[in-house]
Amino acid sequence: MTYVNALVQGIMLGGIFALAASGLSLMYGVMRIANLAHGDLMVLGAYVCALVATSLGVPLPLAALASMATLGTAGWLLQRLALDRAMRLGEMAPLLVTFGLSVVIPNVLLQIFTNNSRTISIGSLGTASFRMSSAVSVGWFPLLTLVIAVLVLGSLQLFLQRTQLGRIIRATSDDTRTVRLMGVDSRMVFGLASAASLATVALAGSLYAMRQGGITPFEGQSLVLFAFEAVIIGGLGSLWGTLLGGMVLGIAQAIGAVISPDLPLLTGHLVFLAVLAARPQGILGRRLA
Amino acid sequence: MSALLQIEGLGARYGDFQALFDVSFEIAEGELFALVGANGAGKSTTMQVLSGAIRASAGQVRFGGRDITAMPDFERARLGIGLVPEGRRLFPTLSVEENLLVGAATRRRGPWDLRSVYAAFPLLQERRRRTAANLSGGEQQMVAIGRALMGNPQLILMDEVSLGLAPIVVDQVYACLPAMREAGATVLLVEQDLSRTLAVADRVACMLEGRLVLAGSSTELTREAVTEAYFGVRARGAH
Repeated sequence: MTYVNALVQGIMLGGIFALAASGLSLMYGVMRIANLAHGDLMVLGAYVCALVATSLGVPLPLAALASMATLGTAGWLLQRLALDRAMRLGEMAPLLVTFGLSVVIPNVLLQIFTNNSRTISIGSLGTASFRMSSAVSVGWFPLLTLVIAVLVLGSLQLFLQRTQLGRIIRATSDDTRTVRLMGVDSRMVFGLASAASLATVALAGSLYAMRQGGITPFEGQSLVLFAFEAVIIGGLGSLWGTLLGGMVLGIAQAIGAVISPDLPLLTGHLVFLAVLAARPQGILGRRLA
Repeated sequence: MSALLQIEGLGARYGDFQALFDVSFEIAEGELFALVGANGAGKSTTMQVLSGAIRASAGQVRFGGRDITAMPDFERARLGIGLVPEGRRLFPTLSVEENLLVGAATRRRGPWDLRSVYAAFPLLQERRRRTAANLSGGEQQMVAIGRALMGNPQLILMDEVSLGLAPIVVDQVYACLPAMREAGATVLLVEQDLSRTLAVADRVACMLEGRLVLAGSSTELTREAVTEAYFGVRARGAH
């Protein structure tokens, strides 16, 4: 029964990973930019959420929305002011921009807020749970994050598949030069994708910090790894794959934790390596051209 | 008839290589104008300058009387210049219908929508759920033309639409031209196939080594004159 419990906990942990990974997947899918600052932007999103909640006394759900709006705007500006120019210089330049950000963000946070954990308290919701059986207990908050993750990824997927703007975003991802010949300003599409990416990142970061009870400046560096792993396990270019990838990673970590408390990170990385070796295109990914 | 497109003294270069020299011509509204010439004569470069993919190094392009020489590519599409690009360049992961719908991103009103495009290419309606990457060359070419039509362009640039297709398939692709013209489109056609071009075009211009060497109505021009211009052989006494 402990393994059944690990499975359930892993699926819920996977919700956060998937949410974090969806923004990464979106940015890579549309702009072909691997955002190395992804984890640090998650942390930044969590700080914004915590700050808005404590200093303005706003309820946490609203604070998380404010954080999404703030980082969404930052994503638009980042794309228009920095990444657009970098993309014209080649593939390496945008990567270096995001690498630079990943150094600057945690160090600025360290200067302003010190290395102490910035608490985000969700009160009794943090420990509230219900029993599925004698051995399996489900926390309300992890379940809530899973539901939010599924809703966000599902609506993102529907938006991309069913709306004209979604089609234009996918066409831009296929062939940027040609989509411009249809009257599409590709820089606007990039700005929009970047804004959407960072908004989901802010949500993922805020939920992660609430789950952990707080956040520290340098946590982003392991988070970016989880997000990359979830994307690659699930398969690039498929948001359902990303959800699945997040869950596989969550389950691997939870089962590792049952075996030994030292193991979760290692088992997660091992499963990632195994997927890379056996199915490099990811579980739901298309065959690499 | 007034000139829809006026090109004057157009030049274009790729780095140090000059691809176009002093190219000038006009296309009247409703006309089907064809550019012929051998590989590397500058036909596709002319198309790319017109669609805005590359900038002119000299000269001027006017569309509907407006100077568009410095206008970015996506704004030209919104203004009514549609391109059927060489090599088709469909969005490979999108379905046939999705490719067509993206073509409507110019947000221009006009006779073309999904229904009229499917009426012109019934085969596309049968294939509408299929991914563009899984189509035959001829089907892909029809999607590329349909996609350009969905943008309701005033001027449609068709770049080497018969390239790599079997003759019978080219006939199917060309079958859409009358419907396009009836709907009011002006067409600039780039082709290597002389006889087909002379059969459909109102006027033909021949390019050689980046220059326009011969132009005239397709009824006046003899096949021999075009062939000579095409290969750069000056007929004795012609000049």
